[in-house]
Amino acid sequence: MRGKKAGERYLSPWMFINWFIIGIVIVIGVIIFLNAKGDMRGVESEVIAKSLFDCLSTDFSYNELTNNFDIYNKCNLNRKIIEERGIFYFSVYLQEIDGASFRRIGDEKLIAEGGAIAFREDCKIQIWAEEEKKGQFASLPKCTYLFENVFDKQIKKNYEISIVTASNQDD
Amino acid sequence: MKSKKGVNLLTGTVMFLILNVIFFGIMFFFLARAGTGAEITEEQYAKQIALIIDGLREDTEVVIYIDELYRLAKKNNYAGDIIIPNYENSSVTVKLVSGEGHTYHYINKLDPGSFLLDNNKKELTIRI
Repeated sequence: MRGKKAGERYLSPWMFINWFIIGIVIVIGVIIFLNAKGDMRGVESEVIAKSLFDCLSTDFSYNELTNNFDIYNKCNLNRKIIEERGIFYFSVYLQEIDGASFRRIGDEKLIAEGGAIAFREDCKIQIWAEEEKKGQFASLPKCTYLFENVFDKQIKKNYEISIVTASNQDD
Repeated sequence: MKSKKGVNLLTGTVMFLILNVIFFGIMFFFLARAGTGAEITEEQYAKQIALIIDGLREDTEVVIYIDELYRLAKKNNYAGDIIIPNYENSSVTVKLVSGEGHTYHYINKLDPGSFLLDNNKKELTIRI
C-alpha cells in the first residue's frame, strides 16, 4: 500500500469487490426478510383459546356444557371454516375439582372438539418434546394449552376447564 | 513533484468519498423502497384485523384507524376496495395494489354489515 499512488490506494479492485459483496448481502437479506411470512399461528391459537375460555366461563353452567352442547352456537364460531379449512383445531375438557385443595376428582369429560382432528396428536408431540428439539416442529401447527378453574353457581361446584387450540394458518 | 502527489491524493480521496456516497445512497434507496412495500402492509393488516376479531367478545365494537392503508393505496394508484370482508368464509382481504391482496381467516361468525368502512375518517369499525 505504501508504494501505491493515491488513486490505486483507495480505488483498488478490492474496494469494488467489497462493495459488491456488501451490496449482494444486503439485497439477499432484504429478499429473505420480505419472503419470510410473519408467523402468527402461535398468537392466533392463544387468542382463540382465551376467547373460548371467555365464552365458556361467562355464566358457567356444568349442565349446559354437558347436555347436547353446541359450542359453535354458544361461542359464535363459524363451523364451516373450522371444519372444512383444516387450519384450526380446538378441544375443551371439563373436570371437577375440590374447592379447597383444587385436587382433581373423577374423570375428565370431553365437551367439545372440532377442526382438524390430526392436530391433536401434533400438539401432543410438541408438548412432550424436549426444548432443543422443538425447532424441528416448525411445520406443525402451533398449539396453546389453557387450564382455568371455574365455579358453577347453581350446583356450587368447582371445575377445571382445559382448552387445547391449534392454528396452522400460514398464508 | 510534491504538489502533484498531493493533488493525486486529494483527487483519489474525493473520488473515493463520491463513490461511497453513491454506493450507500443506492443501498439506502433500495432499503427504503423495500421497507414500504404494499405486500407487507397488506399481510400485516389482514392478520391484525383477523386476530382482533378472534379476540373480540360479543356485543363489542372496535375502531381501527387505517390512514396508512389509504395513503399506500393512493401511492400505488389503487382506487378499489381496501378492505374486503367475506362473511361466508370468515375472512378479510386487504388490498393496496391491483392484484389478489392478502387474505386471512378468523374463526368467528360475523353478521353481514359487521365491517363498516368510513372513507372520510379513514377508519374501520368492526361490530360483533
